[in-house]
Amino acid sequence: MILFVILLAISIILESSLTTIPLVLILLLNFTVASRKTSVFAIAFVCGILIDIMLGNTIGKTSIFYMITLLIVFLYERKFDTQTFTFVFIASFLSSLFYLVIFEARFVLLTALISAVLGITFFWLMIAADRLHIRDKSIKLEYER
Amino acid sequence: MNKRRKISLVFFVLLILSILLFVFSKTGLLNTPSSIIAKIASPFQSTSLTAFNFLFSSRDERIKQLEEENKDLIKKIVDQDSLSRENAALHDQFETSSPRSSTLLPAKVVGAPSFIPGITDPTIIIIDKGTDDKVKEGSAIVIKNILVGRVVSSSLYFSKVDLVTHPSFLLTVKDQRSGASGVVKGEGGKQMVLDNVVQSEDIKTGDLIVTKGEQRQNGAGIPPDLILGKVASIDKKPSAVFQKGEIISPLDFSDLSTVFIVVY
Repeated sequence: MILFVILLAISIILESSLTTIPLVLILLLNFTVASRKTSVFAIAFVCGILIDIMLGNTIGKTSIFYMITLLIVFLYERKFDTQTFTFVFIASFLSSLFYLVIFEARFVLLTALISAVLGITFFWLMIAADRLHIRDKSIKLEYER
Repeated sequence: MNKRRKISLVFFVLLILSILLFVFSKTGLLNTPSSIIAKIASPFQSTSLTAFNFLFSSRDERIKQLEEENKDLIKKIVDQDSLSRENAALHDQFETSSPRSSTLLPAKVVGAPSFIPGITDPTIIIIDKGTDDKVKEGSAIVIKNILVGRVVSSSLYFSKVDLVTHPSFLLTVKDQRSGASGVVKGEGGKQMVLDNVVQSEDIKTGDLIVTKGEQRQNGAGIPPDLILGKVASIDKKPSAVFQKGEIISPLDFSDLSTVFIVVY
């Protein structure tokens, strides 16, 4: 969790000063897929507020987007397995695409593709490091307990 | 509590909170707290930008020197033209003008997000001056006498600037040589489109495009005779109502570190 928070902090700084690639969104998606905890909504809320403040956007805009995206992931997860590379790739690509269109960035398709690649790379790193125990696919879904 | 209900409850509470913050932000109620948070975060922003530019800026020193000389020469051309017109105006008592005095406030660029930093150009920048330094929405941002962009929003200590290449940037301009009027719109990268130039007007490749000047009710505005760029190509079709042109700015937007705000 601490590592995730540090990575988020670095991503917020990079996204507000250097790049338009939605690094925070990718990290939040990965965390949602891996941990399935409702605390991700609170983290998304805070990250969105910080991004808006540092970029001079209207506060709340990014938070609303993050939370709706994560809710869709949670809803999808009820019926289908989200802890797969395919899902992480598609979710990262589509959510980045919509994010870039809404926030009027340039090179939308290319940036979304790079976001998707970064998403699966980070997902692979999480599996390799055995973080949040997503290697063990036999773990029951939290809300089925 | 059922997990599904918990997810829904947490989501809706935070969503409502976000919407409330959005509304308060629009009305300006959150300016002070957001400015304080931005002030705390800005050293990290500017450090990462400075570090990146230091580590990855591989532009030859000679090229940088030539670019600076180019900017100085363009400035001299425009200044000379302004002086000769002012001279003519002073001779004619009915054409004198008295522009309001203005000061240039230096500002550091703390954020310049772009697709691939150092390679693609940003279309917005964040600067470390805000309403506390008398910066207003609509204020012009310049380097020497080249227009960089316009302030679109300001908090107490920071401002967001749309560069001249931002897709939502729109400004009335004129050809410095022929006086032909038109409208410039940002296209991203280093490019702008010069549009709404009447067919009968004379514009040529290589012409300097400068601002006509505009003043807003809040006192901010873009002074006249600021350089936007040079005409790189012209699209003139006899069947069209207007002729268009492509303008390239002499600035390297991926390498901005200090800019100046025109403050009245």
